[in-house]
Amino acid sequence: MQSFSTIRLKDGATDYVGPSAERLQRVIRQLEDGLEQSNYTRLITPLIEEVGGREQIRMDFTTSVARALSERGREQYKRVFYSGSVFQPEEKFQVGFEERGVIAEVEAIQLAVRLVEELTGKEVTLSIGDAGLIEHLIETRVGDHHLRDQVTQMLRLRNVIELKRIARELDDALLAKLPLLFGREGAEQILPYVDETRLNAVIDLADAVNADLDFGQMGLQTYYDGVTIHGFIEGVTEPVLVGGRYDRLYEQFGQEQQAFGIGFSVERLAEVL
Amino acid sequence: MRIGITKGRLSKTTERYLKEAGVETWGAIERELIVKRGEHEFVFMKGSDLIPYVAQGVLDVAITGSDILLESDQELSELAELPFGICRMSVCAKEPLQFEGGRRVRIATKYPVIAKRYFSELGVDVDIVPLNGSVELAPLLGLADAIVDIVETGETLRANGLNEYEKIIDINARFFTSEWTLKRKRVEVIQLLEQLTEGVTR
Repeated sequence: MQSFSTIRLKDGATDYVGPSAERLQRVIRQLEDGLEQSNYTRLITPLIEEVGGREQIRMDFTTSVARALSERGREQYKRVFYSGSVFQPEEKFQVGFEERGVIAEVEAIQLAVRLVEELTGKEVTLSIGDAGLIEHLIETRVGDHHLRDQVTQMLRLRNVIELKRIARELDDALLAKLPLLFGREGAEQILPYVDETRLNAVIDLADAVNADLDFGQMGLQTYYDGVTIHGFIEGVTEPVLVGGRYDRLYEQFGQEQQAFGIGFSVERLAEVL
Repeated sequence: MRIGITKGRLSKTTERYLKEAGVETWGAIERELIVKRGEHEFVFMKGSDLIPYVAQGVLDVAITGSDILLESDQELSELAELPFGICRMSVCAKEPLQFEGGRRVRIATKYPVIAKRYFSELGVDVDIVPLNGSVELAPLLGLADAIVDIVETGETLRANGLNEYEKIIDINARFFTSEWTLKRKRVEVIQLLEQLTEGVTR
């Protein structure tokens, strides 16, 4: 027999056994049940996918889901949910849902909030931004595309220092303010420079779901091109739910439609059970 | 707010600056690591330890040198450059470095990430020897050809027969937080940021 004793736990990886495994499983099961009951269809995608001709382990569900739903003959699947691991590069468990076509953002956000609140018994606080709105704003103010990428990147990091430096270079004070634009005051500061209808839509959405406005919130992935949502509960530093609009991701797969999704962080939710 | 302060020399200049900004500071303390003054709680630790504490939201904000932030791979929100803790990160050696002939140069440093990035941008292969203190010893005793380290006045270098050859980057003190703290406590964080950047006239 060949020797198996060289198998080791990878650095940064963990086993879950007994109560800690039960906890994770409870989060996964309850979220899956909730999504099934809300008429989302289960979608299972392979853990290994081909990216640019090379095999790669799944890093993100949304991109895999977009690929899977764009395969021919799957047009009827408008609302799906997924459950499994992503590697970023450490393994994380994720459950989430995605929808395309005509999106009811308010209902989708309310569903995500309800599922977390039922699971944890804790109130969710939401924060909403609009990555597309801010990207357009940056496009109109920064001509050079290298510099524009840098502004977007620094905004993602909320690096006020670097944005101030670029703002001085371009003599454009607004750029330095972008990472710290919150609430109605934040909206007023950008109002003269953005599409008013779109800005109002974000404000209305935030009001409808009782969320705080954060115009520096670009989303954790670069495919977000509209509303971004982060949900927090007390006792967990990082967001327990993350999502938003990414029509342009589906566009890359030849799908011209609205696309929206929210993912839950299973480990973080399990922390507070 | 729970504010992380870098222990050692930087804590004195940080205190002086905070005072000028109108923040009630810790004053004479002996061995306490956590001190509550007014509306803030100050926590003292090594600069590099501040990074995980802030990233995890245990500390709301912190002040440390930009060298510490550059060396870490955590994505933190850098809010302001502060006008103290000013020095530079440089390549220092007994004599100029020779890269010809494919000989790999050995660099001793407390900043392996910064050093590696600098030399790879230059397109030269080097061996990094990570150390924790008194890096000046490395070229003197022959462990390394050069060091990458913080230079303030250059006195320690000169006293040990080393020269500063290339400046890698200017260093100063930074006020930083994490994305998630910024969301949870934005009013307090922005208020302190304004106090630190606008409240000081020099």
